[in-house]
Order: sequence, then structure tokens, then C-alpha cells
Amino acid sequence: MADLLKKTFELLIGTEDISMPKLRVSKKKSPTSKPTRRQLIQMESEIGGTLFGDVPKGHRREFFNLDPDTWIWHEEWNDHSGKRRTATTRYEIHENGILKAQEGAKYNFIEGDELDNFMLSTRLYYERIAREIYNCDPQTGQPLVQQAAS
Amino acid sequence: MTPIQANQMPDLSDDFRQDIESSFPPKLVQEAQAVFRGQDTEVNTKAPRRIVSSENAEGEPISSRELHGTDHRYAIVAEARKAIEDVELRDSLAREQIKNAGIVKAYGQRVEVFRSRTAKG
Repeated sequence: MADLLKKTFELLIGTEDISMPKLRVSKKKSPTSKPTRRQLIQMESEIGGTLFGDVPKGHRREFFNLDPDTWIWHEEWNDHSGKRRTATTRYEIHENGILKAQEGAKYNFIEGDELDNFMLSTRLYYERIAREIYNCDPQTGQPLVQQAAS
Repeated sequence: MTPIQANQMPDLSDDFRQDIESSFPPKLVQEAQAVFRGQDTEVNTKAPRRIVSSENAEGEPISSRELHGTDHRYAIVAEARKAIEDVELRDSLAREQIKNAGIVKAYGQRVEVFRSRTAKG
């Protein structure tokens, strides 16, 4: 691809000097160095898991935003007999409320303390990942480096 | 006491029937008609169901005096107010739910923007 661009430039402009540095810069910003969406969610989930205090030894906790309408809470631990247990809760964002779905349990709209806690968790999640992973101001969504420079 | 009705005297000639009817004192006729109208009204137009029952806690009917008494009026007003408050509370909770859902959705959408900017592909 780089050779093709270089030859195109040579044909259009007639020199080699202009095209080379530009191609080098574009190589640095190559999409291959970017994390995948899955990796980003994994990174977010690591932060999400710490929002609710210390995770007990032997537990694994994940909390992340799967898509604009879905948030996931997942926890794994060993019970007294050493058997691995898991619990996954899915929170679905509907127009008229936030629906909680758990394995073997009825769907219900969360309310009261549970709703307050969920609201707080999602806000903290958003604010922390914005700063720590995406290096952006949570309020404006703009990159923090650019803001500091301006 | 049931007033005599002209149509209950089919064997009488019209002239004679009118004579008899006109011989009734007008006040009596009016009273009789009022009794019949009252009965019809009772049968056809039952009072709508009240918010507060017209029976007391033991299921006995409340006397007119009690029904229109101050305590009972307070009870009616208190119950109506409670019903209104319940509806307002439900509305308020529903609005709160909608607002919260909107906030969380907005977080999710912003996260989506960050990912799109950052992720490969």
C-alpha cells in the first residue's frame, strides 16, 4: 500500500522527498497499533470491577458497559466446597426505566437504593474510563492533553 | 297508599274517568305523582359509588347525620387526598425512572463514541 501511494505521488508531483516523511508518519499511526473494541471493554471492565470496593480474595468481579443499552455485572468466586460459582446480572436501559435481568430471576425495574447505587456506579465508571483509558474530560469529551495546551 | 290511576279503570267511559280524576283534590294528585316519580328515580338512577363507603367499619350503614358529619367529611377528604398523593408519587417515580434511564443511556452513548475513536477498525 505504501509503495502504491509513493508511486502515485511520484507520478503526480515528480519528486520523492515530499511523499516519504508523510508515509512514515502514517505508519506510526497505523491502525494495527490500536486496541480492539474487545480489549477496550476489557480495560474498562477492570476499572468497573473496582468501583464497589475491594474484591475479596478468590473473587473476580467485572462491571462494564456492553453497548449503549446494556450494562453487565459479573462475579465469580469459590463456595465453601471449593466449587466455582458465577453470577451475571444484565441491566437493560429502556425508555421507561432500567430493567434488571438475572439468571433464574424475574425481570424487574430497579428502584430505590439499588437504582441509586446503579446510577452512582455508571457515573463513576464513565468518569474514570474517560480519564484513565481515553484520556478525555468526562464533561466535554475532549482530549485532556489538548485542553491543557489550549 | 297507591293513587287510583285512570288506566286502571278500563270499564269506565272517558268522560266519566275524567270526571273522577278531576274530582281528586289537585294537591293529592300532585303528591301521588311525586311518589311515583320518586320511586322511578330510585330504581333508575342509583347513586354513583362513593370513594368512601357509606358503611362503618362493622359494615353497618352510616346514618345521614354521620355521613354528612364533620368526621366523615374529614375521612372522605383524607382518603381522596391520599389517592391523589399515591397517583402523584407513582407519576413522580415514573418520571424519575425515565430521567435515570436517559442519563445512563447518555453515558453509554458517550462511551461508544470514545471506543469508536480509539478502537481498531
